[in-house]
Amino acid sequence: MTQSIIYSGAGVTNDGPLIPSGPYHATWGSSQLTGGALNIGLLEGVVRLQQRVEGIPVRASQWGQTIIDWVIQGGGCYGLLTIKEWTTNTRRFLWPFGGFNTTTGKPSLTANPDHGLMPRPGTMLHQFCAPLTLTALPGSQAATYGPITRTYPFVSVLPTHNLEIIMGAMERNVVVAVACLPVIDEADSAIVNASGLATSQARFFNDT
Amino acid sequence: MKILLVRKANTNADLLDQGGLTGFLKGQPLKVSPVAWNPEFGLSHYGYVLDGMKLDDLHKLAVFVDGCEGASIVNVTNEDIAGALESRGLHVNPLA
Repeated sequence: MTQSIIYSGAGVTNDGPLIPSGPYHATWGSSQLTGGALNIGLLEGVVRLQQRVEGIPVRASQWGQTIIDWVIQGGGCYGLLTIKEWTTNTRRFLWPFGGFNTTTGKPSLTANPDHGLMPRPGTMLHQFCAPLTLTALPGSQAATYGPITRTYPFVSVLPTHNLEIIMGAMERNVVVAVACLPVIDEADSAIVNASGLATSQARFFNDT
Repeated sequence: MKILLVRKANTNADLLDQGGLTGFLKGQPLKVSPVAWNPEFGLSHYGYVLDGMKLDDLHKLAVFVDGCEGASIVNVTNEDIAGALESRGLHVNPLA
């Protein structure tokens, strides 16, 4: 029997190679913040999730400009995805600003957004953040190898990113960059700290 | 302290035995699937509510789970089980 080239590598079993490909479905929001997880519909292409460590290089005169170590100074997580649908849900995700709770006097994510309104200078982004959940399509390689779900607890449109809304006789694909804010790690604070292993760490997302 | 241990359905079937956790299990294992899946697609994870652990047990649990692919733990002292699952895009499968 002729084998596919991707099945012919050494150590590869009949289960196939460990390539976790497969589409992911995305929702933004939660029952508490937005009245439910909002389906943001079809996406163009893939979801690109970015994360990086921030640090400053360590040099020493004995080694010239050789970087002999780095001092870690935190990090950041970002995402890039292209929305294909123009619905109330996607518009709330693209522009979560403009909703206002008249009782509390604070921004509200349950109200429909007003794309013409900008938050007041000094307002903090976390007030407009809600969970972004990516879920692997059932039966896909991604659902087998994981993560089956990846959840970012605090996500909103990235400041400084230009949303380009196409008005014309073509698909209204909107590229949106998102900022993911961290939370104190639950397991770390509740379990690891309790057992004296470590101090609190920032968590940007959970995989299951 | 109450702990929710979640594992992928297709791995680590003997997780509780391996970790010596069987004695801490409260109730039946939870049959879990992603909120975004049609419940008929079946299970993606199993959830175990563990209770009555001492600090030493928690220490061992944290180290053990770190070494288990596809498993994670959540402290559920201050939130309900459904909320802990929802925050990970999961829920108890309504058909299970």
